[in-house]
Amino acid sequence: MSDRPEIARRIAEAQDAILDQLDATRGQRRARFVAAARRPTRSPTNVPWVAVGGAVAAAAVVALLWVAKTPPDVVEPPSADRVASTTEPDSVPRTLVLEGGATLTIAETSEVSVPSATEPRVVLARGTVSLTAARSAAPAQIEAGDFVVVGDRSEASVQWSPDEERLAVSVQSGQVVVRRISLGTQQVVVAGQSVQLSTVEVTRGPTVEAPKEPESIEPESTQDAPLVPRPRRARPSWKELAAEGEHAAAVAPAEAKGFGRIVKTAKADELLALARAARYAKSPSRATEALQAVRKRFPRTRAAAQAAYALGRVAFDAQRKFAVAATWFQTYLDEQPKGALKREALGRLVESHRRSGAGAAAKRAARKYLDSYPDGPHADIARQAL
Amino acid sequence: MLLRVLGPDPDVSDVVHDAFEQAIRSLHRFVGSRHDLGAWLNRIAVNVAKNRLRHQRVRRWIRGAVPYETSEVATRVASPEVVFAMKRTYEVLQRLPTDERIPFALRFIDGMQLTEVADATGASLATVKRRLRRARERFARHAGNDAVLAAWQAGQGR
Repeated sequence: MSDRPEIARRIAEAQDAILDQLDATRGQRRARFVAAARRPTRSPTNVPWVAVGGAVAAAAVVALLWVAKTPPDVVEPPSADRVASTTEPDSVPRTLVLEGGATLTIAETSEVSVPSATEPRVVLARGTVSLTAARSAAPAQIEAGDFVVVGDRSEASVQWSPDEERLAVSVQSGQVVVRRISLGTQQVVVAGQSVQLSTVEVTRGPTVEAPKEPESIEPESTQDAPLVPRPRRARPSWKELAAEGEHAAAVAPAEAKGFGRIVKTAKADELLALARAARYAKSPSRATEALQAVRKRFPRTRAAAQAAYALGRVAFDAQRKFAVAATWFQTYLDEQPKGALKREALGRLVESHRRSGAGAAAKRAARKYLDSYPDGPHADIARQAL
Repeated sequence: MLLRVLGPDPDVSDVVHDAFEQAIRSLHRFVGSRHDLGAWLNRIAVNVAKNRLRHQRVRRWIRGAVPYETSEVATRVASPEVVFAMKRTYEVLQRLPTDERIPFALRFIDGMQLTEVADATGASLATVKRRLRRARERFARHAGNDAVLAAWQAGQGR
């Protein structure tokens, strides 16, 4: 393209190189972000409007502006896997705007993570959040231990104490549905009501005012689904759920327990199982985090090589980063040249190189594949690469 | 493509993830052969980029201009003058309207053909040409006031 400026071409080259490096630094970047989110002090240059006067002025600006779903005391719009935390006593409540428009105010000493940037869903690890879901907002979901609180056109506060496994829900307007995951039960809490629930007992708090006629969030489920009557059983852990193939369900208790803590303390095989659950639960960043932990904490082991293979699959299947995937598959082959996953890793290496446009590397890998597995599942793709 | 449009955005991988998630959610609406899939994905990516840019614009309006940070990765993989010029380029691009910035990035940084840019942005070829002409003029005007970019424009940046 003759009209393409030289600087543009050089920028594109630099960006291509950056893309190749990004995945390697992703884990580190995320760790830095989480650390920053946990830091209570804020840069005065970045958030000058935290000061009261600034907040008032910004509020006026935002009110005039329009679109900004982001109110002035919002720290960050939610993005996948970010953690908002106000664990320091002097910290102030933070507000998140969830996908769909609902807002969440996080009280002091609370911990909330946002597992997906595209879903109005948060995981409350501890503390109190206040939900405001306006009429136009999509229903928002707060996961806390074994409970899920769904708020639609409502204002409510939700408190979760993980040590006692106790949930307190107080509804100021509208109504919310409180679900118990392991028992499959749910109940509606309407405006003026407060309930306290725990995994070992269920108590209903005093009604502040006569409950309003429930609107129909899920009318069929509100009458016949008491939380108490069913026989109690132990709440399954993320390990049990993952072992049973309940992948999506396994990630929620892991989040509630503290994903970061699990990643630091779990055994290698447990981390591989957690990563698999996260991958199937469509959370590639969580899967990557668990797998990177295996690589870091158990280097030069078979588990580390398996993690490399799984990282390749995440990069290939979920992130479509084929050059990165090729690096991981090659890492597996280097570390386990006779490993059980050799055929799959080599086949996927061919495919990754092809899709990333690395023709020569694809040919080399294809020759190796066909030498060893002329009738293997990737044989056709390997022949096409030659 | 999103990296080209958004520049050194620390959340670009999340944005890419969002684009693919949207694509998967709308896959049932995709009509065409597999050869059309790339163009369809490009259109989704452009929409995601637009939303991201709109969000950034609002935040800038509230917080004031925030200069692009040069990532450690960039400094490792590219020469300092390219990294610096890249930073300045995207700071200038911030000042372009979204409808001009996106075609500019796709055409000149990504190296797309005009028809591909038109396809990705959902605009006609004539509209794309008009927007590119305006974007180039606007970019040149801003870059002319920037010593680093002016040197590149004059062929002295490398």
